[in-house]
Amino acid sequence: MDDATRVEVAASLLEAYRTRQPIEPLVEKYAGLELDDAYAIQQHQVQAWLGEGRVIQGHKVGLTSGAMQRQMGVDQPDYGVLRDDMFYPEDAPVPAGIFLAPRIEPEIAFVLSRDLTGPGVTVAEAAAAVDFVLPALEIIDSRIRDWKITILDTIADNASSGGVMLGSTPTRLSDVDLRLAGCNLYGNGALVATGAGGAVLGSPLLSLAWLANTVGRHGVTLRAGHVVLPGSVTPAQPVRPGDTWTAQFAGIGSVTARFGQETA
Amino acid sequence: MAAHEAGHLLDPGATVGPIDLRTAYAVQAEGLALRLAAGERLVGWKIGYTSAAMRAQMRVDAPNFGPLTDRMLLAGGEPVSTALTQPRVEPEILLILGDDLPGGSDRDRVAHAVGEARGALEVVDSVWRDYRFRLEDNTADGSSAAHAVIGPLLPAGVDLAEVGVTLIGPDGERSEATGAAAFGHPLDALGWLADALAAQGSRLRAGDIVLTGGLTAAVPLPSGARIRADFAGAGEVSVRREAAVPPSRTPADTAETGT
Repeated sequence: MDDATRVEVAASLLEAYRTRQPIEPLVEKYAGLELDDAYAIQQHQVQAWLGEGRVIQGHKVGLTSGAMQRQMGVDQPDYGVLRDDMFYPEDAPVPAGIFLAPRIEPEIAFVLSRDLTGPGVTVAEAAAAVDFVLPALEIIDSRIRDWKITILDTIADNASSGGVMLGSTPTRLSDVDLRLAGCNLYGNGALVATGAGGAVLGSPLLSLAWLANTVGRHGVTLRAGHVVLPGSVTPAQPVRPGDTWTAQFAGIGSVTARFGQETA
Repeated sequence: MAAHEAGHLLDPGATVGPIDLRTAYAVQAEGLALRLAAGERLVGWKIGYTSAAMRAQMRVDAPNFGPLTDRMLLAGGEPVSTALTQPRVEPEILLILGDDLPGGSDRDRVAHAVGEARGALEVVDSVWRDYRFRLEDNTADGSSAAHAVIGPLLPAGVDLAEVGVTLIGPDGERSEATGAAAFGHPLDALGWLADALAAQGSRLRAGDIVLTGGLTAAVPLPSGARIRADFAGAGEVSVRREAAVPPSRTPADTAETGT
């Protein structure tokens, strides 16, 4: 795929954000789309956002569960960026109408105390770079119609990211076993799904190391103070306007997202 | 019972037909009576279909229960009975009662009746071919109970709904859940059982062992395989199944085939 085409695809995705009208799956229209093209398309959108004054505040890792990887027919995760305007405060309703087809995922967010530059980052170095973890809810969304995505579609679409809600009680890594940290996800008060940190590549720290090493190969460093969402501990759940979602993590605390009533 | 002992599988439509739940529990009681007559001892109960994941997998819409006898108990690492035909394994929270627990008890009373909580595996083995059954068929079959594998003690004071568990299958495939997958809370599953037994004129007694319900979908246990679960703050428990037919090949055989 030539760069002009990559720019064209990036523009169509940015247009989908603006109009809230999804576009057709990219792999149907662009037969030659490959992994490098998909990340380049993502990067063109990142450049556009930076040009609008947005700031990158971290990264998200996706496709980290065995079930998701089997569903997508892949054996590795993917990643996208977290912009400053994707972070929503826990105490105010999230405007539901700004998303196209939102879903929610409970995650154990890392906040870094120092830069992490791959490749070559070990789990030990990844752990040493973590300042603390926070309970988090990630809103995922797709600019591709009806979530009909392959791994290439979702990478091009910033790893299907939408928004982030962070809880406000930090926990040190030494105070929690991330692999077995249980999570109960409640939608409007009812238990909807349960999971544990190990659902994320076996351990969320492996996801952090994978991210540092993968972006490192493109010259990108994970920055001190940045947030990393390592992947969902339960299957994603569809969100409707007016919903309230709470993720309760053993030993890490809880985080709640309320969605406004307005529709797009 | 004869089918279980002989390792046969049955089809509900060809045997019991469309029985109701009351009849199903009566059939279950007859099965238990046969076990007791054979010298087994009733040691507690298992609750089935307390998680949405299990109900979805088995397409049933309500929990049920079945008896556990002393012969069904295994320590971690032991092999399952060679009589099992299509065993599957689920991680569960196992409660051992410190006090009798009547029906109609509130959550506090239920909590106080619990002597200890452990991580555990349940081995189920349905007499119904390919696990194709209705809730009633499964109830008649003792809720498929085959073994309770007693694992590590959970830390005192832990919220059982938040206990994380990872089940690691024979091929390394993992699934994660928490205690909340059992009825929202294992104590609520226990309370449901106390009420259900009371409705049948029975009750839970001090010393009873209760498996509170599978937390993940059940994973098949093939011959020669092992399945383990890791419980937060407690540790692992595993169960294995011996190879179906031990290899009888001698060194001479190997030489003869030239491999």
